[in-house]
Amino acid sequence: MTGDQKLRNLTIAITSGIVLAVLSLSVLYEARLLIRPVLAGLLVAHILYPVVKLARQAGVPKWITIVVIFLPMVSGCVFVVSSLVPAIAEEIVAFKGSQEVVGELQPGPMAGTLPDFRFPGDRAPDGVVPEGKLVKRQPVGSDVARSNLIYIGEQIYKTLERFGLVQETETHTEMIELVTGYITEMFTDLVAWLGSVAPEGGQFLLLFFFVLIFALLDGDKFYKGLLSLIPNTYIEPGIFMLRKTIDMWGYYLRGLIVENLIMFFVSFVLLLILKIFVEVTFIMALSIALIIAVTNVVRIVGPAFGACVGVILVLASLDVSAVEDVEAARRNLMHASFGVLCIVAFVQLLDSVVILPLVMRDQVNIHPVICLLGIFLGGVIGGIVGMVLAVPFIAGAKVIYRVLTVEMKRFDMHAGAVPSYLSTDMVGVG
Amino acid sequence: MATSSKFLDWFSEAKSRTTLRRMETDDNFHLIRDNYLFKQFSPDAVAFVLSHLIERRYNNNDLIFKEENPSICFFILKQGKAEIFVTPSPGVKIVYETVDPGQLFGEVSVLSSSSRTASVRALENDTVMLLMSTFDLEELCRVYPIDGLKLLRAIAGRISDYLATTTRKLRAAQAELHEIKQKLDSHDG
Repeated sequence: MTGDQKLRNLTIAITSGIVLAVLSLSVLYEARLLIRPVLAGLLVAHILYPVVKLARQAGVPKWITIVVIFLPMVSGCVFVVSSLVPAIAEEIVAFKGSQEVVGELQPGPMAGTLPDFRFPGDRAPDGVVPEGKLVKRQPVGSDVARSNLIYIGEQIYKTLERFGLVQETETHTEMIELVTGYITEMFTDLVAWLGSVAPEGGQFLLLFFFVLIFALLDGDKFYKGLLSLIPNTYIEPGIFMLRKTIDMWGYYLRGLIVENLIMFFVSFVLLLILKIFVEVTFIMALSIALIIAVTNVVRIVGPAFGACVGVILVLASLDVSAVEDVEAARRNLMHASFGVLCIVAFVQLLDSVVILPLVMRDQVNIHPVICLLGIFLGGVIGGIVGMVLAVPFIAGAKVIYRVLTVEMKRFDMHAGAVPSYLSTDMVGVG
Repeated sequence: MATSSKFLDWFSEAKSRTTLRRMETDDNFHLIRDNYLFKQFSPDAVAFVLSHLIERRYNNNDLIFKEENPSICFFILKQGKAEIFVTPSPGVKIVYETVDPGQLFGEVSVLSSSSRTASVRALENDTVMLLMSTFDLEELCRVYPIDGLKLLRAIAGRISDYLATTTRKLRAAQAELHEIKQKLDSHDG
């Protein structure tokens, strides 16, 4: 083969590779709505399949095991939704409470003369006051309409003031209003987004549970189906690679579950200890521990998100109208929030230093940069689910790479081809 | 205590009967049940084996496995014919055995986790093999340890049979050699 031919072949190979990669990514991106629930279903099924298999070997029919698995899953979802959604909803109501449209603006000398009102074009916590509307200012410091988050914001601002890090009084009021405006906008967007993705979420859950049930019921057939794709020549190396990959990936995923279960129990115990010093309800402690454990699945980004959701839950737990000493209750909330943040930080440290090395034993060690890139790419392709699945999939890819580059070297990959010396003219002794 | 034990026995027997009834409809049931390796197996262990078998179809002259490769699966010939051979040097082939339907091969190297000592190829079109991997075998021993022990005993029995046959052949060859030597000596004398 001449140098030109080699170059041509190389160019063709590289171009085909790039075209194939772009095509695969486009197909993945276009089919992401379908891929997300299917992948999530297969992943969960892969984690849970050993349970179904063990139960089957003990004589328990598969459908009974599946029902037993589904009950806590569904009740867990209901519990999280029923405790988290009302808390966030209350917080939104509290934010919105500071803005009240009181009427239509009449043209005339009134405009600009009433200090307790905002006029069209003025900045309000909910955005800019629209034309023809009049918004009543809620005095900062009113306990009735304010959110607990604003209160915490105020306290932080006051502390910064005390240390001379920010300017006081008027700027303070403006600042609080500005922050309130941004947060309210964020919450409104979040609610609008939740409303828009609700039908998609329904479709996701439907397909997810369908794939999960199918994969749990027919896991063996699925495995055999995969094997049937391997040509006879490579059946032994193929089985070896598939099983090694499935096993190592399974160890990783189950390790992830064990790790997060440990994190759940440690956080829960620490939150119960925190309960001695500040007022945190048992259900609240349970919910926060659950959130810390669940969000930890998405490496790096997850714990920060979990901490935020945990603090929001704590802050949203106070019903201002139901307590007598609002200030004391809010001080308690502040301490509780700080405690939750400390617990999240401690649990993360414990996870990195003790739990992860113990549970995973360095089986699938992923570099943080690759981890972050994967989470970003997963987010682009599959949204939140993509972010959750990113790390397990990187782990899977790494396992395949390790099996291909290390373990498979033991095989003579030309095993299936009949060697030339086995031609008809060979000497037979037998 | 005795009642609960009786109940457990009854439950276990009923389960075995149900498993047996379910398995009898499987095409490969008799092939497995009559094989020396699984003859002593409990119905549950046989059901495990049946559910983990992989069926593959080979054409004439297809290589099934090659000597010196790692051993991942053992094979049961379901249909067709195959031959076990070694190639000590290029152009030289020594055929050990021709495999007929129902026969099992490759099990010793799988259990000892050693490399293949011989190659196997199909001798007919539509040769059907049933495979079981070392991973499934390990799982079988983990889930049904008593059956795992029976499997080891069966293999040990088979190896000791091979050894006895080889020793017998060796003694016969030695005797023959001795006879030839004597004849040569008397001829020289």
